[in-house]
Amino acid sequence: MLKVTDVKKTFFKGTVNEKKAIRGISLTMNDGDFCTVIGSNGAGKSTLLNLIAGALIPDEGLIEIDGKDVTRMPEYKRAKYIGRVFQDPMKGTAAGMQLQENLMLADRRGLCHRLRWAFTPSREQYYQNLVARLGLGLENRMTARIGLFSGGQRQAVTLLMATMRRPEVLLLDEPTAALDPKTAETVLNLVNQIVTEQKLTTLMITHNMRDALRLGNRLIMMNDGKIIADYNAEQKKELTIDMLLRKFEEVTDDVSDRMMLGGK
Amino acid sequence: MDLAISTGAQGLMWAILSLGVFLSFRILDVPDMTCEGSFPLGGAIAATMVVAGVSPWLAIVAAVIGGMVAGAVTGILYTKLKIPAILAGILTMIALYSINLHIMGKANVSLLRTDTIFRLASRFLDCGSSVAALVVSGGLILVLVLWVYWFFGTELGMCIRATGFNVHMMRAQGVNTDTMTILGLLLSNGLISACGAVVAQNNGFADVGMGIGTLVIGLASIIIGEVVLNATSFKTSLIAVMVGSVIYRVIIAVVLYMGMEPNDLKLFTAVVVVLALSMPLIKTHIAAGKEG
Repeated sequence: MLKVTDVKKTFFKGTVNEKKAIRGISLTMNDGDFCTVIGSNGAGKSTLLNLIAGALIPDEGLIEIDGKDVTRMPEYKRAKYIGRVFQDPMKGTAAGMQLQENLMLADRRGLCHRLRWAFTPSREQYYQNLVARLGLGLENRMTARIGLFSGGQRQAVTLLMATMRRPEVLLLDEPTAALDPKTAETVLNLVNQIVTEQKLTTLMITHNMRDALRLGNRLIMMNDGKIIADYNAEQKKELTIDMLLRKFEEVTDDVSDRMMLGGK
Repeated sequence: MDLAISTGAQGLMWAILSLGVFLSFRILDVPDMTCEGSFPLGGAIAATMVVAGVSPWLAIVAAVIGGMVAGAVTGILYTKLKIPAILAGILTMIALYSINLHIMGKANVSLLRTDTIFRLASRFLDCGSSVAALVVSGGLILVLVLWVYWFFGTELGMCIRATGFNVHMMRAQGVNTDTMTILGLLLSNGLISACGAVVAQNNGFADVGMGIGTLVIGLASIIIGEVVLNATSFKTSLIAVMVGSVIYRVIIAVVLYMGMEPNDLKLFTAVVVVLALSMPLIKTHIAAGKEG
């Protein structure tokens, strides 16, 4: 369970560039909740994810994972609870290392790193089987450098790495924003498959309203550092893109082009 | 023949330095200038200890520990105090200049008539000094390269390598990237210091200025090796470091033989590195020219 209580974050405090990114957010995610997050640019979606992941530390408020207070825990320590997929496909993997080496690193997420040779034949077999389940044919390229892979392949690998050791919370920050539509579809289907199979507690930011409606059992809408709408599974079934757009117009005049286009 | 053997020995000996520079520049992707301080540090520690009658092998071990401390200092300046990597290295390097003078008590310590590892080997193997140098240097670099290969194949070593590629990913995988960077710089400078200790014993003296230009020598060797072997995997990169160091020494021996002034060597090395670094750009220009 993830519990965020009255969290606030301001950037460049006390300067002319002061930006109140998060103006007080409370959010409780039950185990197995798959929640999509939408909102215009600058609404604070990525900041919220970074606060939960520990890449940023909040000014005020409390963040708990499974009842443990992680508000000020360094990013690398909290990583044992959290799986992450970044917007930038380059960010989630080490380009110069082999596919199986990347997987080994993810396999030790939150565990100590021993002074022991990293691979055994059975381990290699295990990684290969995991990769085969992605259905992308990457299982024959286990010792290829990740840098040779396409953006979509890298996101799929990042997703596998984030979930191979079951995370308490899975955070996806626009995982398909940098991909072409067809690859994006493949990656999203993988997300859906893995999250549903493992019943992962998941927060996924998206700019595509169709995806936001199609995936998950909960939807939150953010604007100007606040959650302005929170739909549960029942309400979400009734939702349409038009209803979401109208909701946006209520709170803001400028519905971004990107959002409009993403909805079509 | 003797010249060929001693050139080979020089190459293998200096490959220890290249290996250290490889760890910081290539694996960690941190331009670490500490090198030019930790190299003479190794020489200073080893020479002082050998003169005091300590075993020359033990003196190398002490030099390694000294170099590791120096690397850790740079690492802490860089990661914890957020000083830019180049400056952090330069600061440690400058500080080490004074420290090296303190260790030696003067600017130059001679190892005449002392038992260095090379004299011990020469006596033990009952062979000439250059053959002994080749055997000892070859043995040392082989052991060190094998160790580095093993270490960076362990879980911990993989974490250091991955930190060099992508700190975001490694933090998300629960790794303290600061610690990994410090650890990497520590190992790098341990190797560089070891090389200083070995070179001092081979030259028969340690000098406070012996570190000048070592970083560029290390880089030149790495780049030459990479170009010659077209190294992409970790294994071939390690072999390239050794091959590159030997080729660099051969080039130096050839230009000296052809009558270049020894004073021009550093200028020559700098030009070689500039050419090697700009090679990819020059190649694309040539390729573009052909197409157009």
